[in-house]
Amino acid sequence: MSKWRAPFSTAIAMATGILLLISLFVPQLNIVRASLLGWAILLSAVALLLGLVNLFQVHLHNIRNKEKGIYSFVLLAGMITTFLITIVQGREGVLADWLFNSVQVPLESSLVALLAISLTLMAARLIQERKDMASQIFAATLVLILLGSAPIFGLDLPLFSSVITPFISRVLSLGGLRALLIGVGLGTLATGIRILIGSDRPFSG
Amino acid sequence: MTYNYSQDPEEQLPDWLKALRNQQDEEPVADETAAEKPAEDTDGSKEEEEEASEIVETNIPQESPPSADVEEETDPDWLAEIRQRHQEDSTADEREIRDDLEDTQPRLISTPPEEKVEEHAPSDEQLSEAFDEMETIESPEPEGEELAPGEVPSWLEALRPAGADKASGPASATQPSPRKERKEEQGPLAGLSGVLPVEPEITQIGGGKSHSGQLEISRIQKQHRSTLEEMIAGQSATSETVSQKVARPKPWLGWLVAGALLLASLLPLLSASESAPLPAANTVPAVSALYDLIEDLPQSAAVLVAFEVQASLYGEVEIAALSVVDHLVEKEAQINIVSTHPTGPALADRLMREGIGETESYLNLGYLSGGMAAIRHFASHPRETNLLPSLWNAPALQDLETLSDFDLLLIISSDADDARAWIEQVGAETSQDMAAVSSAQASPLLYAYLQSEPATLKGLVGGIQGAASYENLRNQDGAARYYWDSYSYVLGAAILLILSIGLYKRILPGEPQQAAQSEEEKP
Amino acid sequence: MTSLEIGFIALGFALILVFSLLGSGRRNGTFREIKAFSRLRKNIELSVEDGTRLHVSLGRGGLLGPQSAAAFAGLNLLREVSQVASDSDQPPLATTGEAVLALLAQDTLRANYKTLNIGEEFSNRYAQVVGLSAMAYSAGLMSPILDNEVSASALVGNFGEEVGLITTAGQRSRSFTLGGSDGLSSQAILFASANEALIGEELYASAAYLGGSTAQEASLRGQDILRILIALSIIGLALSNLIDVVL
Repeated sequence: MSKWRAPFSTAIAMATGILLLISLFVPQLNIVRASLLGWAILLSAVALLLGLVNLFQVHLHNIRNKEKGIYSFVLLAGMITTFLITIVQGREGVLADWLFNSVQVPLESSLVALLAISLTLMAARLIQERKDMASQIFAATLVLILLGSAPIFGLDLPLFSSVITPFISRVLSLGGLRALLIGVGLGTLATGIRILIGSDRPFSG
Repeated sequence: MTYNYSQDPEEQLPDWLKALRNQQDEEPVADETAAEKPAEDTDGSKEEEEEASEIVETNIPQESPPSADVEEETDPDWLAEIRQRHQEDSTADEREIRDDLEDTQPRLISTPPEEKVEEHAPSDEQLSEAFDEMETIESPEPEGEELAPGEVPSWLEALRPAGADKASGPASATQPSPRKERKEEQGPLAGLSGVLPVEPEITQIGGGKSHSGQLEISRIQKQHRSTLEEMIAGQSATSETVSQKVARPKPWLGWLVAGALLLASLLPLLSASESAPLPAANTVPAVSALYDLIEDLPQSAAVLVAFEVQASLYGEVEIAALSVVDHLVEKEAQINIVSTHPTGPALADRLMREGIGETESYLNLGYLSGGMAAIRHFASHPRETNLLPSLWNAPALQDLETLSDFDLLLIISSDADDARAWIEQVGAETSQDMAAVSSAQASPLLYAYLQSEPATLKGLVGGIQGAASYENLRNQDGAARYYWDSYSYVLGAAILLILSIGLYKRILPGEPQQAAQSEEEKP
Repeated sequence: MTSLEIGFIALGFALILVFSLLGSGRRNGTFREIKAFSRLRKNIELSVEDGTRLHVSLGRGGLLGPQSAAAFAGLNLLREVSQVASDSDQPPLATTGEAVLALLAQDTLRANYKTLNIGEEFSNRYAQVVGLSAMAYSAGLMSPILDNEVSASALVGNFGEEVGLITTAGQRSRSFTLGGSDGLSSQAILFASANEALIGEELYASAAYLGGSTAQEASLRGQDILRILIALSIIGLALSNLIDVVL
């Protein structure tokens, strides 16, 4: 059975991909496409639950092996508590709403605040340690954009806010962004083609 | 000849050997008597020396070999070659080495080192005698006398270990009689009998040929070497694989930056400062376009809001979205919210309830799982997606079959990719107007959709700057005005910190510039 | 879909097929050096020698959108890395922010273990989900990275701005970090903070550079040609617009 797994899954992947591609040109296959997309949507919802199960297994193992067991215990306790409360009360229940708005959102927001501090330090280290031209241009662009984003200490700098920063963000960087997007798009196209022709098989095991 | 240890070996020696011994005994004995006087610093007692000399006298044959005189007159060529070679090898360095060896070892016979070397080294005469004897042995033997097999010359006999009383040369001076086992007099084995003599007495005999330490390289080998060197030089040098440790950021810097940014953000809030000027009303065309779009909506317009906001960035997007959503509520638009993020519906509820204070004029369609595929499916068959079917029966949605039936699609997104997904998937299926409210980091990318022809996006409010401009257009002070000063001071603090920390090592005189650390080993 | 788009996709198809057939059975790698991959290879070797662990993070991208390509690039890199490092003292660890990606990562690792005849040593925990939202994902990644056993991390996949926290954790643990993402803001953060960053489509070249198949090299060549065509088209269109304006 295991030796048939790889070619079987590859065949399914190739057939599905080619069918979806053809359905873009053949209107009669719209129903097939809609069905396949519907299945994919269902599977992605199931995958969310699978992620919870995987998370549960990993941290349960940590508790059993006492590898940072206390943190894993807190995580599992919070996960199970939130899950049960939301199942019982529903998403709009008082306790569930409180858990989300008073615990989860502030926690994630504080991590973003930590990110702001890390990014500031990162920018400083970039100037401090890297001497190559690309890094220096990066740092200079960063400072110019910041100077034009808003008044600095309450002082408006019209040269930066009206001229330099809009030029950098909407002309120079936009060109670079589009180039990066073209590159990413080409890579995505090539990856998709490799999967369609069966050359890339991340699922075959 | 077989050797019988029980018999007196002296009786079994042939005459010529006895003669040779006697001749050699006379020479070392004469040397010993001369060396006894200055040898006061040697190890060993005088009694031991006398005993050793007695042994020498006993063992050395008295007769000289009969063929000695004959040998000198007729030297064969091969013997002369051997003799010559032996003379070349016996260099002064070798003698020094032998001397050194002599000096480090306990002496049985108190003879000067030089003489001792000569004692043990078979002389030319001895060699010639030995080889003559061999010839004599090979020549027809006189009747009645048979040469026994295995007879060896004296210098070779000297190589025998202690107890084998065959040597006739000077080596025998140090070898005890086989009958009485030699008793070691010196060193750690003193008092023991039947032990091997000390090493120098064995290895001194016939000092080895010294070899040059220099490698002999032929011409062809030199050519090969130069060719190989050229080949290797042509290869690029390989960089040494060493583990490079990353420079760890200093902890106190993190605390400094955190403290500075917190201070810069809190002080204006606590002091309710409103000194920083808001951006002018029409300075950002994208913001003005969105304002005009909402202003032109009909009464009770159906607006679909794609709420693609992560919980972590809700704070920023809330500031940007509050003014726009409030404008929609003011226009009495029917807001329908959908999200492909699991936390999107909950955050949308929070925005509407706590931000706008509105609980009835909107419909939360819930979570749409499946990412971009779900958006595509929703765009083409909105009623067939996996949302709760009962929601579509609500009065606001009863007449809506496709997305084109909505008056406006407003994308509220914290991430540029989520906004792009809606723009590209919905734009392919419908021709309705689309606008976006995004975080500051997503807005540069969305400007591309604003500038395209035909423009996919009709309006854009990006970040707190866009929100401040929108509030200015509405002539209302909202969240953007409240946070604007704080934002201004935090930006200034960030710029100062980045430049001061980044450049201080270059500005301060005498501070060495530190490159990235590179170490051999990882701790 | 317009005919131009269809033609472009068909051209990509044809180029990859042709280069795959032409290069079949032999490796024609003559690509420019990407320093990030050279350093990653060295760090893989060093970690195997040291007996420390390699960490590959595949990001949060699911399989139902364009971010899946970045996820597949990460899976390819995971396969190449695990082929070298699976039988070392500390086997490589794969982390994801999406469940299906974790299943694929487990599949990839399991296949490599079987290939190396050490299938019994595989455990599902070697590929795990560490968080399901962006910040939860970055918080969950800090634990394995700050663990002293991780000497090198490869962040290859779909990331957002949370990647800044992940690279900071790498700096604190003094480990090597290589980053590649299809997100634009994350690429900027990786450029500033990671030891080596993959910009643009370098992310999709990971498999070919780390010893991939003929088809992967062929797709790189196809991408190169398509990129040149796009660049020429842009320049041509810009010149034609300029001429129209001038005239």
